[in-house]
Parts: sequence; C-alpha cells; structure tokens
Amino acid sequence: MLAHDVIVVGGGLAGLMAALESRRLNVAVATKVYPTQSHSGAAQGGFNAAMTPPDSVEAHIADTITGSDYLADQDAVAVMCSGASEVINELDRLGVMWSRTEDGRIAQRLLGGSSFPRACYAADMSGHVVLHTLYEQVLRAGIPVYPEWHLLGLLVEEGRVAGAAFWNLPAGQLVIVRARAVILATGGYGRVFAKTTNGFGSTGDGVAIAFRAGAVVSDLELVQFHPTTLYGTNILISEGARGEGGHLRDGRGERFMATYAPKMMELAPRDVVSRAIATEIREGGGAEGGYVHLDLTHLGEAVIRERLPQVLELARNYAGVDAIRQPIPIEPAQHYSMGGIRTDTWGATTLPDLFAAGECANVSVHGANRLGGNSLLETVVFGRRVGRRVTESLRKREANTVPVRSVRDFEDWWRSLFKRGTPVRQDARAVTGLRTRLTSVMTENVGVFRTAAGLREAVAEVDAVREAYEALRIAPPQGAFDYRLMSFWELGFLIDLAGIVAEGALRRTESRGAHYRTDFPERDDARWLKHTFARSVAGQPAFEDGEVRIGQLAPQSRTY
Amino acid sequence: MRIAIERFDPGVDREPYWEFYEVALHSRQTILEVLLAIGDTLDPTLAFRRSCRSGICGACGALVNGRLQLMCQTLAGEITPVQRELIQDADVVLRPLPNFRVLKDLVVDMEPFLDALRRASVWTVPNPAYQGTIPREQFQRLWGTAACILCGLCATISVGDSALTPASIIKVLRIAHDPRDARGLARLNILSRGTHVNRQFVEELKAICPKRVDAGSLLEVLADHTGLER
Repeated sequence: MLAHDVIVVGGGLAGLMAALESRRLNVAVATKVYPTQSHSGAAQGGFNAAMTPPDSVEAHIADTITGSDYLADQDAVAVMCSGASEVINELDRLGVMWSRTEDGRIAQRLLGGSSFPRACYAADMSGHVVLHTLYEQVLRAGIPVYPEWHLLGLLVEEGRVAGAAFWNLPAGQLVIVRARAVILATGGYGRVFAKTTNGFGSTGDGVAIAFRAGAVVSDLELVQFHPTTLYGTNILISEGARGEGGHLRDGRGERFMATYAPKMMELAPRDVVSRAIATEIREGGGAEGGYVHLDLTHLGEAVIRERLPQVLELARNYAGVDAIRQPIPIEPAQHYSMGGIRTDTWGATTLPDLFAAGECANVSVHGANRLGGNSLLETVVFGRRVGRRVTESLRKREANTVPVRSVRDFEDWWRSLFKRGTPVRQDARAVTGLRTRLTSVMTENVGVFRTAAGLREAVAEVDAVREAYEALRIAPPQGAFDYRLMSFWELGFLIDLAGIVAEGALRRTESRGAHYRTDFPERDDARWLKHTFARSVAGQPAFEDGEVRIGQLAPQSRTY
Repeated sequence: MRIAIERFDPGVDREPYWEFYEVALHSRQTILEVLLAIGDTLDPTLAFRRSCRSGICGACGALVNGRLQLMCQTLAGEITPVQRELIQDADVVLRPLPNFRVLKDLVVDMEPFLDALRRASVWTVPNPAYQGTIPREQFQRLWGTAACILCGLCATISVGDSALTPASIIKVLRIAHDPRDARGLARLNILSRGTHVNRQFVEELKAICPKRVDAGSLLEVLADHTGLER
C-alpha cells in the first residue's frame, strides 16, 4: 500500500498551491489529467486583488458580498479579499507573466460587478500562465505527481479519512493510497449540464465522492451561467472582452443592457447579464437561431491583439468569425459551480482529515453568484491556506488507523460494477445514452430560468437515469488507457450531483443570484437567507438549512 | 467520411495497424469531436487524450493527415487532403505524435518531454533584488513564449542536444531574461555550442507551434551573451 502524509487530488491551481504549501510533508499530487491540462488553464479573465488606492480590500469585500446576493459567508470573503494582494505579489516573484502597465507594474482590468479595475491578468490567458508557473514550482520542489489517476473513493476508517482509492489509467490498475490527510481540489461539476464552458474533466468527482463518504455538500443548486460563450460550442469568451469595452447587441444590432442594468451595462454581474441575454433570446430579440452578439469591432485591432489574443483565436477557430471586423455570436451556458464540499475558512470539511479547496469547495465566498476574477483568487488563497492548515495539524497528531475494512468495502463495491462477457461497445452506447438524457434535462430545466414544474420533471428524469445506471454492469477493465471506465464512473458522479442540484433548486423557493425561479421571482431573506446543506443518508441526499455568516453588510436590494 | 487511425496497444499488439471508421460529420466539427463521437458510440476502446477542447491544455496533439496539429483546433472541413500517405481511401488519417513512445493508440508517453523541463531547471528562483516592476519593453520580449502549452508538437524539431526539447529551451530563454529570476543568464550555460538555437529554430518553432510561440526577441539577447550564432 502506497503511503503519504498528504495526498492532494487534482493538479489545477488549488491543488498545486496546496501541494506547494505542504511540501515539507510527504505530499503527492494525484490528478485525472496532467497538471497543465487542468481546467484552471482555461480561465481567461483574471485574479481580483485590491493592489493600490483608491481601490481597497473593503471595496472588494463589499462588491463580492453584493455580487453573491448576500449568501456568501462574510468572514470567508474577508479572508479571501484581505489575502489577495499578498498572493498576487508572491505569484509575481515566482515568475507569473502578469500583463504590465506603462510603468511596469502589474496591470489590472475591470470585470463585472467590480467597482474598480481590480483583476490582475495575463492578456486573456490568466489561468494558463499561473498554472504553468505553479507547475514549474512543483517540479522545483520535486513533489511527486501521479498523472491520469482517477479518484474513485475515500477510505473512511473509524470516522476519519485514512486514504483514497484511485484508478491508475495508464497502468490499468487500482491503487490504494494510505494518507493522514486528503485534500480535494478536483474542480467543478459543470459537465452535469449539456451546455457548458467546462472541459471534459469537470465532472465533480471529488464533490460526489466526498458526499458519498459522508461529508456535507452545500449550495449545489447555485450554478453560474456565463453570459458570453460561443454559440453552439459554448467555448468561453472571456468577461475580459467586455472589461476591455466590448458591447452586447441584439438581433437588430442594438445594445440592450440599458434595460437591465442601466449603470453597469455590460459589466453588471454575470447572473444579471446572463438573464438579460436569455430574456432577449426567449422574447425573440436575438438573432435567428437564438443568440446575441458580442461586438469588439470598435476596440481596434491593436487592443484586441494585445489584450484578447485568445478570444480572437477562439472566435476564428470555433465560430469562423474575425472578431476585429465582425461581432461574435454568443449565448449563456453553464460556467461555474458555486456550490461544493462544505469547508471552514481553512479548508476543513465536516469529515475529519478530509480537506477541500477551489471550485470543488464551498467556503462560501461566492454565495449565489460569483464575480469574475474571484474564482482564480479563491483557488490560490484557499489552496495555500489548506496546505498550511494540513501542515500544522499533521505536526501535532498521531498517524491514522491503517485502512483495512474501508479497503475491503471499496473492493466489494468495485467488483460489483463488472460483468464478464458484456460487449464493450454496448457499454459505451448505454453510458452515452444515459449521459445525454441527464445533461439535456439539466440544461433544459435547471438553467438560467427555473420553475417548479420543470424542476420536478428534472428530478424525475435524474431518478430514472439513476435506476438505469444502477442496473448497468460493464465489461471488466481492458488494460491500459481504458477510457470507457472513466465515462462510466463519471456518469455515476454526475447523476449524484444532478439530483442534489435539481432537488436543491426545487427546494429553494426564491430567486437569488444565479438561481432564478420564474414562479418565485423575489429574493426571500426571511426564509432563504440560508445555505442548502445536503448529506448522504443511505445514499440519498437529506437536506437542511445552513446558517449564513453575516458580518458588516446587512442584505440590501441589488441595483446595477 | 472515412477516417483511418493508427492503433497500437503495446501490451497486446505486435505492431501498429490501421483501423477504419465511417462517420457522418459536418464541416465545423473538430477532429477531436469526431473521435469523441467514435468513442461514445462505435468503439470505446480507442484511446486519445482530451481535456479543454479549446486549444489551451495541450492534451490532444497528433498527426492529422501528416501534419502536426491539436485535434481540437482542426476542423474536419478544413483539413488538407492526404498527401504523403494514402491509407486506402481514407479522408482523414490520424497517427500519434512522432518522437514519442506510443502507450496506446494516440496516447503517447509525455514523461521524457517533461523530464527535459526538469533537466533544464525551468523554474524561477526568486530574485531578492526584484522590486515589483518590469519595464514594458522587457516584458514584451518575455511575452512571446508565455503561451506554450507543453503539447509536445515541437518535439520533432532537432535542437542538437538530446537532453533538451524546444519547449524546455524556450522556457530557459524566458526565465534567464526575467528580472525576477536569481540565476538569470547563467541558465544559458546549458545551451552548448552544438545547440541549434538560432533564427532557423525560431522560424521552425513558429511554423509548428499551435500557439505560435515566438522566441525571436529572446534570441538577440541570447546571441549577445553566449556568442551562439543568431
């Protein structure tokens, strides 16, 4: 049995930051894809930090809390915002290629819902450059990385996490790792939806596995839909494009944001802008086929080439559009998972020795709507804190129980998945069919606009898909790189999460942030200024309300 | 459309073989999407890496009709005809990246490529003298190589030293010129006189690299400090 003090699951920004911070321990990173292939690398816009006056940590906190529609925990927001400039400067010293001002300082741009240009960026490849810098530092520190290992389960022994079980895809083997602490940094669950900006790996594995192991997950129904994704493919077009001055135009070429957010216009928070676009499309104001335009043509070639080179390339490659001369067809699509594994501000979950950071965690700094530039910030601030916390706590404590019973239980579950003689082609068709049903109903009924009837239908469909999935037995592993297994496991995680998302959305009878119920269009603080906690009871989610930690800022109405 | 894929499972097969798939596709579909459709319905044993599907993760490099490409950036309707090798009557011919050991089908062993990064110590060692500003002109020189995604397409370019790769070299060049690095130009010592880091290297790299990494601006400084030919 392989043993480490700490195993970090996930090689994106939060995972690498956590690993670097716990490098004095015997730490390793196990990751589903190579670290530089993590979805953090696709983040474009930037990292929020109040670097210089007149911007301030207080303004950043206030914008974040207002943006969250008051559902963020205000102490967690304060931790994130007050730690921001220090971590940005530290990343700078490590070689991050932050874009520069005329006088050579770190440049900042305006993103939605911010009262100052606050996002430190690297053109429109902000996630990419930081991910590569952290990967370089992981090489420097000699931290072992186990690439293409899929997390399958947590080993819980006497109520504490004592390790994790992985599928080593290249070797085609199960691996049991004994660990004194497990840090999950596995990213979001965007692939629950058919229309998403997320890469193929964002299937919420860590969230589902933590839930199955008994940890509390929270606010999963709070899902962000990004306003500007390429029409059809849903590839992300950065909010930086509007930050640099891009306009949204309807089917007739008219700007329409004045109707929805007269002050901030295109740079209102994402929930507001996505609803505006979806309303335009739904009411026939979009272009034929159902989309609107993101127009950058007035910015000029020089600005676009320098600050939005990736946007230019993405529009050309995937929409056949020259963004210097033509507007880009866009539509809203799932982008970010506000909810996740419930943690305290040090990344500790409700399950002893299990930690989480980044998009898979719910601290909660985003509440019901995340601001652009805050998710990348969250990954590095809380990735670092969880590494520190784990280093500190392991110094004090005895080793955990060696996992024995939990390994036996895991292996029983594992064996129950397979049936000899099943044709592999049949496996693939069954899994594909169920995944399509699941993700379609989620996009149709659990998207920007939600109703009780639609949500009930979604819950029923998820249950039907689950029943069919549980009856499925697939052919045993076929050696190295058997991606068929991955699709099968991921579908199981997606089903668990889709159920909690849809049921949580049905339960929350109000509209707040990105969660909009057309049958309950108002925010209801008296009943719903609450987190949604869910824990597994006999495999099914049991829901309860969780307290929101309010601080200085009492809930007010949001006007943009 | 008929698609031919060179398949090989070293644990099972004696040698690589061609497998053919018939797929219906539309012209704006990427080659990666075609493979996903094959995996979803026709043949789930086909192995290929995938992650971002938007050209930023570097997972899906392959030879597409003899050209080095990211499959997620290659539209089915825009690929050039098969020129050098006519594999029966296939419209699209896919092979794994050359210069890598095949692990299965289109999946290759990335470890030697990443080892080259370790050997070249491509990480910033923070410089205590750094004051928080980088003049814009200096920054612009560094920026040309920032988009490298470590996809491995450049490994076909000979750099004259088997311990190095183009990707490791451009990272060394960048960090060596970065005021935030304590080791600075001493890093260039790993480039021996036999290394082909010159104008031709820069042009070859620009031609192959899917992110059009351009080390041209770093080359001039390099030449001044090492006496390597430009």
